[in-house]
Amino acid sequence: MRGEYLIEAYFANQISRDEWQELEDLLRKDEKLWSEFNLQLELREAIRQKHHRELKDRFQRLDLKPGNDNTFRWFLAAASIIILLGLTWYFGMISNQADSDSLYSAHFEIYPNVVAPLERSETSESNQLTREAFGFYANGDFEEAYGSFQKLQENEENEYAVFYAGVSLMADGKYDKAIAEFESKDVWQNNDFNVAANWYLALAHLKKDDKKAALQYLEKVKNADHSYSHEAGKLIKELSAD
Amino acid sequence: MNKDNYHLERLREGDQKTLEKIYLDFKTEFLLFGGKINDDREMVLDVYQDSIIALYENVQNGKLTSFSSSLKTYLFSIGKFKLYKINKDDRRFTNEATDTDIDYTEDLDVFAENINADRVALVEEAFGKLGKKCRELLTLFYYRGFDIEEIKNEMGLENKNTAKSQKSRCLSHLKKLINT
Repeated sequence: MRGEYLIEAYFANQISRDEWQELEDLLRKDEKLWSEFNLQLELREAIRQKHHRELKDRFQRLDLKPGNDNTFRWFLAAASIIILLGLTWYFGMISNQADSDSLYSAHFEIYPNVVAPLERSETSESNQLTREAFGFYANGDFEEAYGSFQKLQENEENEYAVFYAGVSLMADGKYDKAIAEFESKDVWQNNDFNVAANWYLALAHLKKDDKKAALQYLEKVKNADHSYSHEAGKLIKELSAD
Repeated sequence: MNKDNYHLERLREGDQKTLEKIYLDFKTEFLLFGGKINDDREMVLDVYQDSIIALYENVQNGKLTSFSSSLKTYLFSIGKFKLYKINKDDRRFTNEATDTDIDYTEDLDVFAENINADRVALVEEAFGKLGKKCRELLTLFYYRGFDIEEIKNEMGLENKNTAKSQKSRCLSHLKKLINT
């Protein structure tokens, strides 16, 4: 019994130093246990090798895709620079909106789920709705995610629900609603959300081609000493270079 | 939350897109880096793939829960260790680097050192003949390193004893298949 318990702990990567020692001793004395254990080691190795082969095949296919082969990449890079130079000169004056759009696309990313990483042993009922919301979010179903985050707001004072509702709206292309959502909160308890909300507000205004408003929010983000501050600084420069 | 830990979360959930992205992001640099240690390009690429797989598995089986330095440092440490190990066995490279240079913990699993390759092939064949549920259960136990509680939750089983007895049944079935 003890031997089996230790073996289980070993394969679950939960065995302590002392237990490891104990297991070694038991294995030396009990041949039957040793052969049981050995079989399980072989089983683990067999499953590993199967998965390794599958993963390596995947990587090899990836390597063969055009663009992922390095030499071809260099050629593409060189060619694209030349073409890009030509095009930028040609399209330079044409569309301000196009600039805003491309800046937006270059900088917009959905905010990672810092609230409820989907843990496999999560069983608590009260977090059911949260898991559902983040499930949609992680899947890219932003309309559904927005709906779930809305529901969460009805139940409690969930600041993060407002924040992620806003991000979901942006990802879904509903910029005006997103702006309203972020602005609905005057004061954020969590400073990370506060700064990030300003960041998204900046991007939303940028997408609507309101550079002045965007710059105002960007200044706030830049001065906030946050992980987005550096990027905000970059975007300010890019906007000012028009 | 920083980007590395975000990627770690995604890897833990088995997100293949993230895995592929990481693979491509660091490949060029690793090939350059590895090329200085070993000039066999095929080998270095092979080691790179093995290192990515090791990273992925360690995240999945719970050995790696967060990065103390960065994902890149962790990945490159694994690769460096593997490359130096290869060099040690190759007569051409004598005393290029010492083990003291390496500050990373790969699982130097003493038990696993002496596994018989032919036996493993036999076990793999028998495993393939098991039913889907058994394969899934055993993969969770042995490859993913789930414990009984996690298995029970993941597979929606009634209680821990159910999980335990199913595991025994699958193992004895496997043994029968191996011995026929």
